Amino acid sequence: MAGIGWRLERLVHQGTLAGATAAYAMGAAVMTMPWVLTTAVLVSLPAVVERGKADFAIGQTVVEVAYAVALLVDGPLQIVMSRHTSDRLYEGRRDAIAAPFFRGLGAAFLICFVTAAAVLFLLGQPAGAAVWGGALSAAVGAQWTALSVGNGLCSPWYVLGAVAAGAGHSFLLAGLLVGVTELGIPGYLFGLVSGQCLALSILLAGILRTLPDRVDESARLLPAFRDYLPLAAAGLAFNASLWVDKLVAWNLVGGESGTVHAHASTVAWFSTIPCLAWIFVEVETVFHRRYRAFYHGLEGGATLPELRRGVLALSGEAARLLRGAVGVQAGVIVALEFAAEHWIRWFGLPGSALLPFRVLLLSAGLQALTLLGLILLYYFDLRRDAFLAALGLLAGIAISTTAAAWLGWPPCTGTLLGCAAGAVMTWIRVDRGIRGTLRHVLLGQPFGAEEAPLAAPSRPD
Amino acid sequence: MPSDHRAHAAGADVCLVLEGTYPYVPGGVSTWAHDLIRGLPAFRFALVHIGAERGQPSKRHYALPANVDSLSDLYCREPLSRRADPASLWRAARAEYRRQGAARRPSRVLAALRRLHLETQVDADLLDDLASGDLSVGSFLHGRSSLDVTMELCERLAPEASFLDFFWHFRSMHLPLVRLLGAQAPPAATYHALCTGYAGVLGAAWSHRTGRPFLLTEHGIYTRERDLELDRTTWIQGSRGSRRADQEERPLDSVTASCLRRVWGRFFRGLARCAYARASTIISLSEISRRRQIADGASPERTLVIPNGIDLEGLQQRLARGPRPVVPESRAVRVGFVGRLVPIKNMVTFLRACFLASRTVDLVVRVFGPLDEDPAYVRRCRRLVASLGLGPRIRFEGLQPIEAIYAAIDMLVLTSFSEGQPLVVLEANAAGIPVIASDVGACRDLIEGRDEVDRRTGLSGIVTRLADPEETAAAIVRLALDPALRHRMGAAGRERVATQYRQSVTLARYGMLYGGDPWPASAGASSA
Repeated sequence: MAGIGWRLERLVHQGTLAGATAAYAMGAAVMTMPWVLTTAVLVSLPAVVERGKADFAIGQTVVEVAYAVALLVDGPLQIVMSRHTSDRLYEGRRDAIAAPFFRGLGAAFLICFVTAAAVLFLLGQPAGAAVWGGALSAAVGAQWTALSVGNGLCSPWYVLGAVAAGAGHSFLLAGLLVGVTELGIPGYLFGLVSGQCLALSILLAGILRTLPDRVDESARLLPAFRDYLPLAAAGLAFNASLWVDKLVAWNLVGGESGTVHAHASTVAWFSTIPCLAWIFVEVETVFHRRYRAFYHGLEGGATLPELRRGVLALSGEAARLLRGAVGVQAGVIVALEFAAEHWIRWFGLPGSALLPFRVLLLSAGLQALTLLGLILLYYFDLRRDAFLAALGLLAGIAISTTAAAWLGWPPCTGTLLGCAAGAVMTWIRVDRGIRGTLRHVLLGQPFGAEEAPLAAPSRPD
Repeated sequence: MPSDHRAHAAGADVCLVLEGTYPYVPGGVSTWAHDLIRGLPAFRFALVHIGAERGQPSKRHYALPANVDSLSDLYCREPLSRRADPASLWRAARAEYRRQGAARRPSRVLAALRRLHLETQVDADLLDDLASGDLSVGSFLHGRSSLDVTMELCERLAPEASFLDFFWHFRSMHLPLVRLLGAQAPPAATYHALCTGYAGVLGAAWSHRTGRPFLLTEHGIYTRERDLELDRTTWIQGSRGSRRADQEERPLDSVTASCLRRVWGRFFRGLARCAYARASTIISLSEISRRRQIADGASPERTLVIPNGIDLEGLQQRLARGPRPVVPESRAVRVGFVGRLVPIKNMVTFLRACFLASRTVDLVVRVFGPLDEDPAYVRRCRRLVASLGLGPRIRFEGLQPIEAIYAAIDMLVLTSFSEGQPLVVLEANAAGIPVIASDVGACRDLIEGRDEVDRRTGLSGIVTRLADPEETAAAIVRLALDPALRHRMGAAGRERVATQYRQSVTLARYGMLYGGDPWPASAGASSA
């Protein structure tokens, strides 16, 4: 995330519990906010709208489609916007951020709206529901796009405040409109949309405040899509890997087992919040410092032995991150394994969800470790490796969950195997990528990429 | 005459490999090459010119004679062929990196480059590897084995240098060679390079590849000239300060600059060794240059001295057709400098010497030569003229016809840091004008005589120490105050040229070498 590291450093280095808590809360918010919010909305629906009502099914479909479209369409856009903003900040060209950002925002808004509305229409939903779904998807997609840029430009408190205000407003207004005015699903959706729009507005105000008055209108976003295509595809693949086991379970297993797997998987993902927060803070502070020190050394005239020591230090730092993430996640898993029965009861899941929940806790942990690997691959600009790693995770989960379903095993076992394979393959790439940093950095330079063939002899005049 | 046993399919008799000279850059070597081609009309020539970058320079300064079959332009660097879009270049580079990353086949050229830096001997295997030309530009720039070699050489040759700087210099150093070695050799009976360096190694590789003989003529000693350049060049100067990462134009630290200078020098000496190893005959213009070649690795039995000669009759006809010698408006003595205005010609010493001499004698100074080759150096010279207060006395005349030059001067001064056997000294002597020259290359031979018989002809000028304005000024004053001495020296010069430095003799010797006839005096001794 662009430029957030020094803010986290400042919070961590306050040396107070409040500072550290704020830093990790920021990490948790940045890393998990979209899917926590998604899950919260999906979970809150039955609580707000009574199950028995006729339009409950319509409402559920509208919300699920709207968020799914936003997640799939906006994931790649978020990565591109975030990298584009990071690069412009690194180059000191803040004036080249606004124009592409607003174009990207407009694109996210339009594409999410049209796609979600079209999907709902094709699913046979009423036109009104399709329009509401489009509006919700557009508001969520635009908000997440703004979040990807605002994370780097605004203060952590501001970003957290915007998201919290939007979420609070969503739930309160939705509850009010459904409970007091009895507007039903339209009221509920209006509440959700208005909350997302509020969060978006606050984020936009914050972003605009940090950007200069002068705007470089010639700055374009499209080339960034070409440059960061593998990263965007990696983002898409990783997002898809969070859903693919649920889709496989629903479609191949079906019935209660499929639903139980899907719900257990969703709940198990909550276990990664502390680990993701830790990853975010550590990557953006300690690792970032080490990373910059290496590049400063390279550009500042370090000798070959010094650079080799720098690569070893980076490798060691990656290993430390992995160990730390494993430690945090293991702690959470152990605690949750002991309290598994309470957890599934608390989330309203049946007793048959116990085994899937226990297994999927491990899967979620492995996915979090894969995500850490992907972040490091992004850092070292190993775009192709990041894409292949994310694709490997997606394919691994899809294939092994499918295989488990075919063999009549619980689908969660397949998911676990797929996650394990994805994590191992990702970390092999990370290890190889970091050890080959010097080679990658130097041999990927455009020096001579433009070489033309040697000229043929000419006849003298 | 071209002999039948050297007949070859649709090729030239001689492929002349030129670096930064004929037909694009005016100067002594270019004039020599032009005269050689014109003087041997029975031979067909294929010319290969190695330039720094496409379009630099683009204008031919010589009309190619009719016996030139082809002219190929090879370049050390190519300008961008895509749009100057950094993102597209990055994409292309990454794609090439991925493509080359998979190719792990060891390259013979790369192995040869490694040996060139690490070993002092050049054997047939090394030439064989170089001549294979199996390293593409893409593999060199983006291949893993190329980076491995770069790292190994950095560790062994410049362990204390900034690796990033070493990396870029290593690429700049070898990329021209990799490009050139990948070029097709024009079919020819004989390959002839006019210097070592890139041209020399290319000629050697082509000769090795085709099995044809290779001749090498060195006018100046290339490695010595490159060493001089490396000492003076700004792109390799070290700063006293520490390394800094926050500036785009980061100066090199002193340790790195020193290491890089050493590596560049070693590289050029390696190139020279390759050319010496392959050449059947290594020609120099003077005994002193021959000794230097031997010291640099040339086999003594293959060295040969063929001095430059001039077309005395033609020159005298031109001088006679030219303007009558100008009668000075005053009693001022006219001092001339003829040559390219580039650092190696050391105009600074010349200008300082003129300044010192002008305190004692009245003189006017004419500078003849192209002003466009190194504009920054010309500006520096003009600033020095202004600061010394020589403005009214000095005129920069630019390129002028030879007859106009020697009608307008009473003495020629040459203060170069390095020379082979300067044609201007021969021309001035042929015109009866005495010469003051620094003790470089064959200048002493030309002025004092190269053997006992020649020395009896007398002095045709004064030899001074290198880069010594006081001694040069004293020589100017001495000649300026003694018109009889000038006359005597001019006459001696004219006689020396007539007896020792005839172009017809030089051409006949090259004709014999090209024709493949055994050269009787080629066993390590001067041919003269």
